[in-house]
Amino acid sequence: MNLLTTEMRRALHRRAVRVMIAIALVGCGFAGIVAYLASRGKTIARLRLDEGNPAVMTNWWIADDHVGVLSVGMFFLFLGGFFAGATVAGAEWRAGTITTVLTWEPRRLRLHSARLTSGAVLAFVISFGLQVIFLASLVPAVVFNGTAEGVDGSFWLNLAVVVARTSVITAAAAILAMSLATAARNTAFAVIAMFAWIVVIEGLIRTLKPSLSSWLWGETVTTVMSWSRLDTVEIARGPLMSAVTLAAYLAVIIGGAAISFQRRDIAAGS
Amino acid sequence: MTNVIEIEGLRKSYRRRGGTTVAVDGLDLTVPEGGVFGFLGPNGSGKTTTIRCVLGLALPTKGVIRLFGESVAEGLREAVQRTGAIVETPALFPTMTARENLRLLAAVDRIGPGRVDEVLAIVGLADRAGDLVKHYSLGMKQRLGLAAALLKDPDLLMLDEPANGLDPAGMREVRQLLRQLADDGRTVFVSSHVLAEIESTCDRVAILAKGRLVTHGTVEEVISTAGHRASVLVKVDDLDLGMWALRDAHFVAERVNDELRVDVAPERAGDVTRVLAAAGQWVTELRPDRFSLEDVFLELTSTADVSEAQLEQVVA
Repeated sequence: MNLLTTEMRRALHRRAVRVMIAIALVGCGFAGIVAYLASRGKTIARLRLDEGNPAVMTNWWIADDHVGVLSVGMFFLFLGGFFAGATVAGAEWRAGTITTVLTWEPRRLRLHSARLTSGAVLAFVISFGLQVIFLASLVPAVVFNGTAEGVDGSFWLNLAVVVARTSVITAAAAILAMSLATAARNTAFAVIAMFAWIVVIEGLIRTLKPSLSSWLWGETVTTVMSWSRLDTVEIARGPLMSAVTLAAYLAVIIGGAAISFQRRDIAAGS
Repeated sequence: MTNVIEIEGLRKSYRRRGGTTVAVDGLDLTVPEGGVFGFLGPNGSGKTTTIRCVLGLALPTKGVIRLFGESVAEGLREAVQRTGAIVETPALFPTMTARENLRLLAAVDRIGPGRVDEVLAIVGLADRAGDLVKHYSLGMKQRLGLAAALLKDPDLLMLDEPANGLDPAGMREVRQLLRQLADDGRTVFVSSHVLAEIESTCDRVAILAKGRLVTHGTVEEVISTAGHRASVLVKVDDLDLGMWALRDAHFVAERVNDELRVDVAPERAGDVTRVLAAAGQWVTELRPDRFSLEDVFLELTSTADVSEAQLEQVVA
């Protein structure tokens, strides 16, 4: 437990993490102001006609269509989780602090597990908190200009599930990045490798071999995020299968990084 | 006397493009409990690699290492709890204050904040404990690393070049601190290539060259392995007059700084004083011209067998 809390405090001390949280908070505030101004002076009927206007509370998440105002932030949270994870793990290698920590806790797998767990917990909590703040920033638009009509228990339940699911995906992104950065002992590698894979390799596969699309990270993550089968993919997979696929991919990468961390020497400048 | 560190047949090689680099080759070393143990060698002689292997940061290619009697391969956690270490440059988080850095480390082993302030005071950083580490000079970082190593109140301190970046006053403080820690019953294992840092502080030394141990023992033993020069150093009021008097008496004499070196066995020092007295030069100081640890170090490390134990041995 000590190790876990220590690793969390370490991660929260990263300037990049703090900056990303600050940017997200500013974004939330900005979104609230825009939502308020955009809905001011409009009738409820007019607001209902605007597709996805956040002043109509039921637009926050439309369970039947698997879309809503929350969809906007999902992609950014995934990216944020990934960058934060990469920088937290990569910085330890760049600064050489991994050597110092290992002279206190030499059981490498234990240390690695604590770091990944702390990264996942932090990413989940921060993602959850930011989504709540984002939704809270829309409340003035609803209260003063819009309506909460149609909001019932099932709406809140669906909303909570979506927020939790997005937070789990953010945590997965953080773990993925931490594993890549640990294996390569470098922040930039994790970011560049992921970017190259998602944009270049998966782009090529989508064009040259569309039947494999359902196996790609992009499609898999999108399916899990929206929790609906994609219409754009030739052989689309259901959300549950996509979630299992995502978990399997993660397990392989986490396992590989753990083996690398356990076996390789901690050398100067590594 | 029990041994704190036991190393048997340690070999560490790294695969590199085009071959293998041997950093440590067949090292046998024992470090007894208590005192300051100097681990000497020129840059690249394998000191840091050995320390990394002892601390489990690098896996030996061959050989056995025991720390407090526990095999490093199996009982490292228990041994590390009794060990404080600095490996190369102390690495701490630059965007945290010194106190925050130490508190984070302390939390791993449930060490209270009181001990953090205590070690900061020991290394003379109490006044700057609230400053961000990125604003620290190299010497201050070195002190902070030392504070981190002391946090656990360890039985063994392993310090890799602890005086790096320190000014002369700082070096003296560190030397005094190491001596004090050893006098308190701890074992201080300190690696260095700065001989002045070691000679006055260490009880025992081991000299490493090109990945191999070339000599070890107490400082006196190591110096005596080099034997004595057949010369004496003499101080008189008028060095020039003294030198000519000695030369007239067929001694080989030369001026070295503010004294004369006379090539004569120390047992014949009486002949020297007689000649100088006859010339009206009263001897104010006379001592055998001993080898220093630095002389021994330079001689041993420059003549170590290069053919078999090359640091950068490339095995095709």
